[in-house]
Amino acid sequence: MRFCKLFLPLLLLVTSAQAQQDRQEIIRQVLEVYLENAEEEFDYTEWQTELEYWLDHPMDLNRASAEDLLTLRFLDELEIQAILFHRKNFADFLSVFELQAVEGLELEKSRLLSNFVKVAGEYAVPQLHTRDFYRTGRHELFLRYRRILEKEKAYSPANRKYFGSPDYFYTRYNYRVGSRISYGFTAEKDPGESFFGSAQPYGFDYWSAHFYVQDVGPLKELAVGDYQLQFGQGLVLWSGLAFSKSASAINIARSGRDIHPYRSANENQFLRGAAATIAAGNYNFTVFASQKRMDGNVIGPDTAEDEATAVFSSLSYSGFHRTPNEMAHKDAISETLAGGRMAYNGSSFRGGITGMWSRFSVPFQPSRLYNKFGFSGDEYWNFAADFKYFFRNLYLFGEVAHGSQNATAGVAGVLASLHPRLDVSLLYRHYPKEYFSLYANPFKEGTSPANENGLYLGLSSNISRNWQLNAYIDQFSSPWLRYLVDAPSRGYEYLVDLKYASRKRFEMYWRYREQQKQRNAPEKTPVRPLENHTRRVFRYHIKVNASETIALKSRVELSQYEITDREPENGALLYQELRWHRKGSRFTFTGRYTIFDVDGYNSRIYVYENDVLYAFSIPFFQEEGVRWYVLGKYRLNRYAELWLRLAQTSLTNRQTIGNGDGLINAPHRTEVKAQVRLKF
Amino acid sequence: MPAAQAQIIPGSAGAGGAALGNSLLAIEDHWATLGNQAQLANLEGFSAGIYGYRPYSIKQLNGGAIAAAYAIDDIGVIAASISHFGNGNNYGRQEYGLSYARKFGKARGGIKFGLVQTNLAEYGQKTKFLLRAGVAADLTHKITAGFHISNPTLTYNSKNTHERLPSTATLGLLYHYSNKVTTVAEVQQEIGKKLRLLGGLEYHPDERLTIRIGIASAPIGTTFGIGYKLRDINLNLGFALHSQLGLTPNLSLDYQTEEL
Repeated sequence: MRFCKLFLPLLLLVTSAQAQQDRQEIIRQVLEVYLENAEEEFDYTEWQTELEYWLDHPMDLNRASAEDLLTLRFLDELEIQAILFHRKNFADFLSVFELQAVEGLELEKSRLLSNFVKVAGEYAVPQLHTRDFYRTGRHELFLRYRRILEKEKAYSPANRKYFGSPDYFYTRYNYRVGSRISYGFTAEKDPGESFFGSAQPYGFDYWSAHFYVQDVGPLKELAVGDYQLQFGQGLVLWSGLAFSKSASAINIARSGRDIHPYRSANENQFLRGAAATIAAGNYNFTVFASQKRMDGNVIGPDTAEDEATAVFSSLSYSGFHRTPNEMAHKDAISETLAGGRMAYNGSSFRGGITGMWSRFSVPFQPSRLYNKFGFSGDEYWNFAADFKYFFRNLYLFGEVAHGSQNATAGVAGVLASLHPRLDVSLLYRHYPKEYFSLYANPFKEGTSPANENGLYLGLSSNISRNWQLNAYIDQFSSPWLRYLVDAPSRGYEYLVDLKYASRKRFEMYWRYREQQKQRNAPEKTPVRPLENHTRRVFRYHIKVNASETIALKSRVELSQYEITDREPENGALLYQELRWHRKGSRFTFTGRYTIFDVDGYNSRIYVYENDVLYAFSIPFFQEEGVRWYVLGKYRLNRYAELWLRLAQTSLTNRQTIGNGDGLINAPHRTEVKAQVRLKF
Repeated sequence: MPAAQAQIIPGSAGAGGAALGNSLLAIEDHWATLGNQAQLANLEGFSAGIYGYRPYSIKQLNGGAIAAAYAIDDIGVIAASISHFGNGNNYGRQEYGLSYARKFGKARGGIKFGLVQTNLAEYGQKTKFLLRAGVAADLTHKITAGFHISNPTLTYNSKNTHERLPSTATLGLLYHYSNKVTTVAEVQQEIGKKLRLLGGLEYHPDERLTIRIGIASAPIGTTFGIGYKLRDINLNLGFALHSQLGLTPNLSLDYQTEEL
């Protein structure tokens, strides 16, 4: 390894040419691994904010802790351990390019990581002096606007259904001093919602605010207002982003952030109140309390005041308050939640115990047979113990929870680095049909961690310098009924992803994913048999850096949906993307043209699209037609940036597009989006 | 037991083979007589074992085998096996097999002559002669390729019902990452069935312990297992999780003369 260090200047020369990439392109590269597999729009704001912060203020590679590296989220525990091991055994890093010499860290990851870290001399822990507020603090203000240009049915004069206009407004203000202080607010008005109208006199329909501070006196962390909690493997509390299966087959262990300020516009995944952590040596003690109102379908007495006999049958997560009916569900239920956690952070062993209690103002009464064993009533509590342990080349992790539902749920796994070029992962989970925790988000297949047993195997291998293989298989079963599944059922999912990356010019991958689940047969017989529903997706993707200024991306994706013994539904999609950015230019342009032919909803194809910063588009395609979008970004000066995006989908086999309230009496839908960011 | 469709007697090349996605090529002990017989050729001395499994944890479907192999200097390795599957009263199938394997430089070849006996409660007993053969070659010190055929003569079980004994061809690759880690990938085609992919990974954290994981397609299954060696005795456990039928436990206990 000393030998390696001798050659570092050479290595430096080779790699520094490509070091200066566009910042947002780097972030996109990180997110895409997960987004390209995503089949729902999730709010990645938190993650992206974090990445942006580290781009602006790279962490010191020779001081960074495992926790610091984990906040990047694209490194798995084995890779982090490999970096720390390298640092421990071969002395401090001389340059970020030495990351390429870390055994167990693939080349592409080391390149990506080099953007977020630096090798500094003395590391000064920032002290909280007033002058630091002005020196390193940063204000950030976002204003975003979005609108569908065609008139949707619910806005037409004859069928007027919504309170408000089809405009979408979003604003976010945030002030940050490193990761030490953060405060700000987020506000959002969805299309169709009232804005300063009779139904919403406060303007925006959704408001969120947070105050967060680190390392003040005995307090390690303090959050007031809206915050998120992420503990253990997510079996009891994990609000916010969490991945289960992705093309990154090894990255399956959860690494919680404990308390985290909340800056997103998702209207459900947060807690409202206060949370604090006190550190004492290797021990952390956390307490938290939250009270907020949630949307739900309350049934029962005629007067809303008389909550004594009312029950609710479902919670609503859409965040839409566009109609009298949606307004009636708004804030219908009040949730109170409190608890605490004690954690031990050793160098190779980490563990914690978490306890929480929660109460709803109105009891929950499930109305379906499939949740017969699930939660009912107005109160629940859970206790959990979790651990992480590094042992030789293994990383072991797990969590067990038991609660008022009298059910014990557990998840355990191991990541093993069997060879510098071969990692495997294994995870087993057992979530009984009775288990319930509203904010739980452990590794899972279903929507909640209940009524599921499963075994996951993953493999990642750098076959050669250019070729990388990722694969996983997950088998799961439900011992009780599920939604649209009137019997115990089983299923599986597997993915094989083969990637080829040339040193600089291009990379491409082939990916195949197959998932099988059981569903009710359509016959209306007293006992419904189950049928196997199999979904197959094949993708070929290539990215070429055609020149210093132009990057091209092309994709072919084929899908198939097959129900036992029936004619399968097929889909095909092709796109070509062009991205233009000249070094030093204030302007960046991205455009994409997509053509698709998809038989139906079951064989729909999801595609991740570039969007204005912090917004995400993962539209899905069905029917026949084309879609294009153009996205321009212009940097006015060091304080202001501007985005403009125009996207249109046109169907060639229909006269209308959309359905229900979103129906448009024309075969196309056009969306315009604009955003301004002010930084000062 | 994900390979049930592909084999004349269900079950694997021992519990080790069961834990490796039922792949044939990765098994290089006396259980290669139930896998790719060419892989018997590397054996030294005498070894023998007993193997049992319970498909989908259903008692009535129990199966098992015994096998022994003996290496004769300059001649090769001979092996004998008896496999059994089914419920003795209603349905059962036995195979009595005799295998021979030898090296040819970096390649090796093996052949197995089997007598397959099928008992059906109301139809009596039927015995058929069956052939299996395999080759394997070390392409580099890290890569081994193998090919195996089972029932190439397309032997009928019953000409009246046109029921043939399964005929299968398997092409496989072994890749040795290091002396601790070996992976295997195989493509298997049985006449009249879907193409299957089999894969496995074997890891030796130390000299005694072996950990195995594997997968199989059509039907989809995950397999895993553990092996522990204590002097000349080797105990292997293997589990196969079928996507719809559940778990099949496999167990084998082996003896190998200590290396001189």
